[in-house]
This record gives sequence, structure tokens and C-alpha cells, in this order.
Amino acid sequence: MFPRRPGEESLDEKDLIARSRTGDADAFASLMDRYRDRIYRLVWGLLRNTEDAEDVTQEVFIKAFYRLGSFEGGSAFYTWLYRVAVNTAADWRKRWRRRRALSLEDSPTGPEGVEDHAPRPERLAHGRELGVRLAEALDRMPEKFRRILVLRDYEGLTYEEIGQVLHLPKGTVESRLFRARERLREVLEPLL
Amino acid sequence: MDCEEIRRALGALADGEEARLGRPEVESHLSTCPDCSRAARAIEAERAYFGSLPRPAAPADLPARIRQRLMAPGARLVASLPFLRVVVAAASLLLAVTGGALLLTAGPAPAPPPALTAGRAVDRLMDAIVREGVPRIEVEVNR
Repeated sequence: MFPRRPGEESLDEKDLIARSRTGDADAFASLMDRYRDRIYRLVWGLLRNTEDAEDVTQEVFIKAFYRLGSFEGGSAFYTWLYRVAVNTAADWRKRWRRRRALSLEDSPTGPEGVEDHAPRPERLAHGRELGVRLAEALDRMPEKFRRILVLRDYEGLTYEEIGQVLHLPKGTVESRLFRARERLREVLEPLL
Repeated sequence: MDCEEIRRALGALADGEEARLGRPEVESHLSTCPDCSRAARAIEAERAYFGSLPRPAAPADLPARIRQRLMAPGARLVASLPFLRVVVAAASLLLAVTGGALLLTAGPAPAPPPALTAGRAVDRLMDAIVREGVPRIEVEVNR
């Protein structure tokens, strides 16, 4: 899934990274063109809200631009960018939860909440119910479980790639996915 | 056979990863264990759910919007933060050294560790500026 392994960025990309580090906005725009769709999709998968995904993707790239100095090439650029995206989306959710807790409205599907992307009504009602339950369960899930499910089942990353993004050993990735799915199983069990 | 072991293997096999148990062992267990069969269906449902979600592309004008923010006046302040970080780090080091020297001469004193390090404070400041822009400071001049 990842285009390249650590340190294997193309010469062209290395050059773009080096120029971006000096504040070259054109070079950074070229990097953005390469990764914007993947980063936007990842953020959308984590937040499932179009408006928030747009705002967070902007934040991701702006942070990346100013933090390129901390990218040492120990991991692939793409992995590093993914990490910035995952952390920025998590911060966003934290702020959103705080705001929601302070507001009188307590609806998870409120104006700033998760959009309903459950299967459409034309599909089987049973499947729709499963989709709704899954969306709710994911929304309530601790961040560390939700993000690992998104990276695995929405983004399709391997355990090794997830480990690179989250800085986790492969065994921990496997074990965390297992625990995340056990939580989902408890929610879905009555419907299965 | 341990059901937890089976369910761990179920997930790994579904993900195309190496599992501690082989597929035949797992399938044989599933045919006799309703709980693990339900677990297998739950994994299928979860994967189907993620598979059914849209895979949207970034809006076409997103790079232009990002570029605009990078060119904004406030962004120049953010750009200077790496330098600021060095200054703050140097100041922290100086404080730590002088503070340590004072502690050595004055003897042990209860000093709680700082909740926010200088580097983290700069990170937070940068994040806030990236998020909300530089706060506008208005000065009223009385003539």
C-alpha cells in the first residue's frame, strides 16, 4: 500500500522535501499534489465528516510544511505524513468531544457529528442496522482502537505498515486489532 | 481449543497476515463453536462496513486553500518558530543549569516537575496558530 519504504523516496521526492524544508511553497505544492487524496481519504475515514475532513487535511499539510525539519528520513515520508494526519485527526476529535460535552446538544449525529454512511435504504434492513450499530460503536470507541481499525480495514494497510505509522511493534498491532474487534463483536452479537 | 486463540487467528487470517493457527484448524473449530462463528461473522460485517464507505478524493481547490494559508502573514510567524524553539530550548537549559546549581547550594527542596515543557509549549503555540491564525492585537492610541 505504501508507495515506498523508509529512505526509498525517489530522487525527485527527496529534492522536493529538501526544497520544502527551506520554505519553498512550490516544492511543497508538488508534494501535496502527490498525497492530498490519500491524506484526505484517511482523514475522512477517521472523522467520517466531509467538512471536518477538509479542515483537518488543511491542518495536516500546514503542520507538515512547518515540521518538515523534524522529518529525519528514519521512516518513509508517506509514513511520517500519515502519522501527522492520524495525530491531527485525533486532536480534532478531542476538541470536538470537548465542545460537544460543553454544548447542550448531545447528539452524536448532530451538525458537526459523524455523517450517516450506513448502507442505503435499498439494501437489506438488517445490513443497514448493522451499519448503523457499527458506526455508533466506532464513534464511541477509544481512539487507539478506532484508528487501528480505520488503518487496517478502510485504508488496507498491512500490520507492518500500521506499526510504522503508529510506532508500534507488529505484535501490538495484531493484539490491538483483536481487542478492537472484540469490542465490536459485543455490540454486533445480538444482530448476528 | 482456546476460543480466544481462534478469534485472534480469525482476525489475522482475514487480514491476510500470518496467524499462529492454520486456516483448516480454525475452520474446523468454527464448525463446532457458535460463539466463534458469530465472531467470524462480526469481522465480516465490520470489513463489509468499511468496504461500503465512500473513498472521497480531496476537493480540487484544497491545495489552493492550503497555499493561501501558507502565504498568510501569520504563517511567517509560524515559520520563525524553529528559531524560537532554539531560543526557548537554550533559555530552558540555562534555567535548568542555574536552577540545578541553586539546588545544590541550597539543599534539596520539593520541586514538582513542570507539566509543560518549553518545547511542548512551542508546539502547542504553533498548533494554535496553524489552527486559528495569529491572534489580532489591537492597540488604541490616545492623542
